Formats: sequence, C-alpha cells, structure tokens
Amino acid sequence: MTKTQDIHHLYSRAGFGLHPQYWQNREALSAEQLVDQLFEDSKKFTSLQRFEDIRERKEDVGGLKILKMILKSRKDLQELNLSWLDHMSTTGAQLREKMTFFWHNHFATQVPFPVLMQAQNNMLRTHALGNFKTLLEQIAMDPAMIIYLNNQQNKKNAPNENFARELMELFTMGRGNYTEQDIKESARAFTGWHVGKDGYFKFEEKQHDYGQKTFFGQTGNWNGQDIIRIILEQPTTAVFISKKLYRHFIHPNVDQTFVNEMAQVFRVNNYEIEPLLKFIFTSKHFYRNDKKGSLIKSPVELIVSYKRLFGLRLNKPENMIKLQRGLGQLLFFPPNVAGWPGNQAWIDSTSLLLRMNLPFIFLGRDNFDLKEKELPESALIKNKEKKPFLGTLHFEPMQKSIPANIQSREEQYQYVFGLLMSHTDLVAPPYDARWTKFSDVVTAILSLPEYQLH
Amino acid sequence: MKRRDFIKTSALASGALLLPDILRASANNLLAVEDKILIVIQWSGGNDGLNTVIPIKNDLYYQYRQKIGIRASDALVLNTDMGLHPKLLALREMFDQGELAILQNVGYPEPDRSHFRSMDIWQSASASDVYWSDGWIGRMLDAGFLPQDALEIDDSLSLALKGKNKKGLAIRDIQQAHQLAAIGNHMCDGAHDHDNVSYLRTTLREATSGIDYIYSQSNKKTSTAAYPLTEFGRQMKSTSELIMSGCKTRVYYLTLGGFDTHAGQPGTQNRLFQEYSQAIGALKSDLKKENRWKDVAILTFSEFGRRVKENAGRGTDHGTAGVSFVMGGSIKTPGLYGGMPKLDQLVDGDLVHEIDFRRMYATLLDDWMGVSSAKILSDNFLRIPLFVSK
Repeated sequence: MTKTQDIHHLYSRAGFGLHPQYWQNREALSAEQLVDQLFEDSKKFTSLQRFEDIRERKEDVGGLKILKMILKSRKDLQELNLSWLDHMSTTGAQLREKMTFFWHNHFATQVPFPVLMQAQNNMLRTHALGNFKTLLEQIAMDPAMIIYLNNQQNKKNAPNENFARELMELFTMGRGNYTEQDIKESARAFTGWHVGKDGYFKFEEKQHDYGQKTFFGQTGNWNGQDIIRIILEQPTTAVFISKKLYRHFIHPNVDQTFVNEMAQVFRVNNYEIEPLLKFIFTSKHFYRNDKKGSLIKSPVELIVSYKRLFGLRLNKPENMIKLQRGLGQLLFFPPNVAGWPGNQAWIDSTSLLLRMNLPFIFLGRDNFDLKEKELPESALIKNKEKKPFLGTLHFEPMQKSIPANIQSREEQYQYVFGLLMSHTDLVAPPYDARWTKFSDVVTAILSLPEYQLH
Repeated sequence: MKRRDFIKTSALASGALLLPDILRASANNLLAVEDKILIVIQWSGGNDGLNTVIPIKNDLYYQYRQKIGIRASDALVLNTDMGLHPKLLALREMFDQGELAILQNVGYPEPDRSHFRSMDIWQSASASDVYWSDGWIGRMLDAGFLPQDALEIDDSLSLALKGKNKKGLAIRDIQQAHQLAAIGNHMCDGAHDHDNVSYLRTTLREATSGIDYIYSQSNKKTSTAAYPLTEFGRQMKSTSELIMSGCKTRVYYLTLGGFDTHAGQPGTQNRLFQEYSQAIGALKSDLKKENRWKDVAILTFSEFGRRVKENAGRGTDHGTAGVSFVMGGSIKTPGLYGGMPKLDQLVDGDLVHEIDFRRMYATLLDDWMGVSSAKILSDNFLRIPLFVSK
C-alpha cells in the first residue's frame, strides 16, 4: 500500500503530475508496481510530427531553401514548441516524456532548422529510456548537434574541438576528469562526422584523421565510437550522470553515498537507463520526507502541470510562448550548451511574482500582458498589437475527486492544500471567508510560493 | 597609546569591518559614490560599429561598403579620420562637450557569432569558452546591495542582473508590478527545513519590498522632455523619472533591439539611432535640470559588431569586435579609445578586438560605482582612465 503523498511525489518527479481523481485506484499498488506501470505506460508513444521531414524528399536542400528555412525558423520552432507542450500534457507515456525533457536539457542544442530540431527531439524520445551509450552515439551523429557544436567544421587538417570538449565537459564526465590532450585526441577521432548535403549524418572519409590517437592512455586508430566506448569505461562517467539525475529527480543537494549506488547500478547494467531509474524510483531514499517538495518546478513543469491538472488553455498561442519566456524557460531555446541552470536560478523577484499570479492572470484579471524581450530580429517582426492574457482553467474534476464528507469550503481548502503540496510540515494560511467558490480556494493555493515546489 | 585613542581607533577599525568588504574603504568618497548611477543600454542584435563610428578617411572602408558606406559629407565629423552616424546628434553634442568616450574594437578573444551565446558572454562577463550562470551586475549585488539597486526595465530579468545570491528587479510597467506584488502577504506558516522554502519566502519578501520602494519613487517627478513614443523611449523616460525623483537604484538596464541588419541596414540603423539619440538627449536634459547628470554614466554596447564586407542585400552579417559608448556628466577623459578599426588586418573578414569588454566593466565598477571589480569579474582587468584626469 502506497501513501497518496508518495504517489503524488512519484508522478510529479517521474512524470508531469497525476490528477488526484486517479490516485485512489493506485493506492493498492506497491512502489515497484507503480514504477512498473510507469514503464509499461511509456512503451507506446508517438513522436512529434509538426513538420514534414523534407529530407525524405531527397531533394537538394542547399542555398536559398536553407535561407528561407532560417528566416522563418523562429516562428516554426515556436510551433514545434507548442506541439511538444501539448504532447507533454496529453501523452500517457509520462516517464518517457519526462526523460526526453531531461535529455533535451542535457544535450542542449539550438539551431535555426526546425526539421532537424524535431528529428533530434524524436531521437531523444526514442532512446530516452534505452541505453546511454546508444544515446551518446546518436547525439554524436545528430545533424542539429553537429551543426550547433561545429563538428561540421571538424576536419583532418583543421580540427574543431567544440563537440569533443562538450562531450566530456557537459555530456559525460564534467570538468577536471580529462586533459586538454584528451580533448585534442577526441576531436581528431570525430573529424569527418558531418552532415551531408541530404541533411543526414555523413561520415566524410576524406576529412577523417585515420592516424593513431592516444585517449585516456589507450592508443589506436580511434573513431568517434571508440571515444564513446573509452569514455564509458571511466567510472567517473556513471557518477557524473547519476549526480545530474539526482539533482533533477531527487534533491538539489547530492547525497554522495546514494549517487555511488546509482553509478554502480548504471555500470553493472551496461548503461541501460531503465534499471537506473527503477532503482531511483523504488528506493526508500527517494520517498524520504526531506526529498518531497525539495525541488523548484521548472517553468515548463509548472505550465504542463496546469494543463494536466486544470486543463489550462490560453487565448492566443503566442501568449504560451511569452509565458515560457517570462518564466525563463522556452522549449527548443536553451540558453546555451550547458542547458538551463535550474533550481534556484528559476526564481527571481519578477519570475516568482509572475508564478504566484498565474491563476489570476489565466482567469483574465486586469488586462495583464507581457512584452517579448527585444530580440535580434524584432525589427523584422512588426507585431506590436497588445494581446492580454486570457485563459481557461477547469476545477470541476478536482472538486469531484473530493470525498463527499468534506463539504464546507474551509474543509475543502484544507483538503486541496494537502493534495497539491507534496511536501510535509506546511500549514496552510488561514482560510478567508471571501473565498466563496471552489475555484477561489484552489487559486489561493496555486498562488502560494510553496506551490512552486514539488 | 591612551585608552581613549585606542577605543577610537578600534571603533573605526570595526566600523570599517562592517562595511561590505567589496566597497572601497576610503571613507571620504564613500558618500559621494552612493549617488552614482549607471545606465546600461544594450543594443540587441549586433550593431554595425563601422557605420556607427565611420572611418571617413579609409579607402578600404568605402571598398568594403560600396552600397551602404556612409559618406564623409553625411557623417557628423569628429576629427580628420572619423565621423558619427548622421542620426547620432545628441552624441556629437556630448563629444563636443567632453562627455563622451568612444571605444572602438571592443570584444573578447575567440569571438562567438551567435546572438544568444555572445550576449551571454557579455552579460555574464565570462570568457568565451566557459558558461557562467550569473551576470556581472548580479554579482555586484552579491557584494552587499538590495534587489532594487539594479533595475531592468523589462518584463523578465536578464542574466546580467542575476547574481549567485542576489538578483535584481525587472519591472516594465510599475503599476502592473505593484499589482502583482500585492499577492505578497499571502504565505504559508510553519517551520520548514527545505532550503528552497526559505529561499522562496525570502525572494518574495525582497520582491514586494523592492517593488513597493520603486512604486513609492515613481510619479514623484514627471518629465516634460520629448522622448520617442516607442517602447525604448518609454523605458528611458521611466528611468529618467526615477532618477529625478531621487530613487536610490544604482543600475538601470535597458534594451533597444533590432540591430540584426542582414538586409536593408541603412533604413533600420537610421530609425534606431534616431530613436536612441533622441531618448539620450531627452534624458540628459531632464537630468541636467535636476543637477543629476553629473551622477550618471551610460554604457551602450552590442553583443558583436558586423562583418566588414557588406552583403548582397544592403546589409551586413554577424561579425566580431564593435563600438561601445560611455557617456555622462562626469567623464574626466573623454575621446577615443581602442584605435581605428584595422581594416587591413582582418581575420576571416572580421575585425580583431583591441579592448576586452570586461575592461569597461572593471572601469565602471571600480572607478564609477566604487565596487571592487576583481571578485566580480574573477580577474583584474586593466581599467580605462575614463573617470580619472589624464
């Protein structure tokens, strides 16, 4: 028998939240069974299909066509953004989607080619719960990544170290665990890993350095695959990934003992991601009280939870973009290759007040509006029309899930407070008699600073 | 030593210890320093420095810029070698009055030509091969300031104003912000051992008191100067009115976007520079009336300059080093820094930087704001003698 708070905690971390109306029928299950169910639910999934993959037409995509693509890429990427947001809010494969989101941040990429970003996103989704080695090989061959980190310019006679450096610094090991010489040798091994004229990965033999390379003390005619193999032979890699998962899924401050256990599980299972996640989500450690409510929801997690719990819809699609930007996280636009810094970096005075006011803004209070930050191309986008926020939220399903014996608004308020706060020890602010409607008590809770935590 | 003297000295010593370590200890300029204000204007999109400060005697310039080059007869001539863009009238006036420093060839090693990355580098003040998740003004706040000491006139806070522990405020519409802040009295009770709970509660308290402060300072004085009727014009007007009202905010951060002139550059730059120059002129006249112009320094920069050779669409593509301006009523050594662009020594068709942008930050922090820059910038950058007499 699992406590409702544990169910809430699991689904909020391993997914994007579960509506309380589905909690009851899960209370009979053990943590193992719940986690098995999450994996089962993630077996079937669909990919993002916002754009036709024009590469499949086998036409030349050079020159003018590329320019045209770039010019409308911001708009197209925003559409891709919205379709992913919807996907996150509706998919049954929650865990897979959450991990796709994790890898989107881990392998942060931003290029002005929506078709390539869509393809990368679908690749990440396919391998999100698979094998980390496969994922690394796929990302090293991913056209968007190759363009973003300049591996296209990595040639035998003029190596470019950008991808090779980030592969170790950000994707696998972290600073201080390799030498500059390792980066140079790795870059040589990835020479010629390019994007072909057809827009797919192409190994350019003529640009590849076939010479001997010495990487982590091993000498041979190494190719990119060998580099990835050797990186995964280093124990520090499993520790690095485990730490990152810990900070994203368990607690902002790493528990080294538990991380070492995670790394052990990861290596013993040949870098399969599923056993590692099962280890985390079924551990006693994960369900400890001090872990619940210890993480700050990212803006996307917050928005998706509004969609999942209250069916949030906004009047204008561009307001959903403005909202992400205002809160500090726009899908497909990570700040740089290191991804979003996360946790407390989400919160400043302005973004916190915006978060706390969201339910009122969604319900159309006061003609609220957000201005887009001045962008490089804002001279090109002449759209100064004011588009105040207006949205809809549905509270009826939550109201229906409340047991019949809880009748007064004040009791409902206390009950819903318990539902929506996954962390313990918090006492709700006093009930206000002016909250006459059910929606009043819910919005009062949604507007607490503590609601930003999960 | 007599006992009384001993008490006096130790009291002085302990008093000095109480000051934030980063504030410069020389007590006699401490009071004056507290009135000093920095306005940062970010030209977003990558401004073309060569058509901002024009090398009117350089034939190579006119060869590279056959369609969009600005003729010497159109430029606002500064000296025999250079002129300002014809729309930068307010700047020429300041140049003549010794209130403008023009910094050419400003950039950083291993330049990045992506808007976002390069803007990150400028805002965090990092080298181009590391990623910092906090900004230079934010780290200044960390040294012992309040959130309202750095105000961005916008709906969201830029990296530049995010410190490790302290973050500035972002307010575009003071009324709207005041309304949002009204939610601040709504709080959960109970002790809680999660760091993030106290972090949120502290941030909320700081937000409401910061916004309340800014709100209390707004509308005390109203400007009658003619600002452009644009978003940037409104931002500049708000800034001016807050300063006129005696608001204690130390740094204002504003953005003027649209400099990504891949095509049709002349028209766009004309419009933007007219808007910029008019707003600067209006702000100066406001502040002069209140005798505050002497307390203000304005830094203007862009994330990169543009390619030297124009493209086929009467525009320019992303480049490297560019032009920055520092202006204000207390510039001691105005004029030209960084030399003329070396159009005969391009690397891959781009200018090579002469002045690291972090030297400007170091100058503004140490010599203007009175805050030691070494820790904020994680290095000792050579300062530029803008605020000291030659």
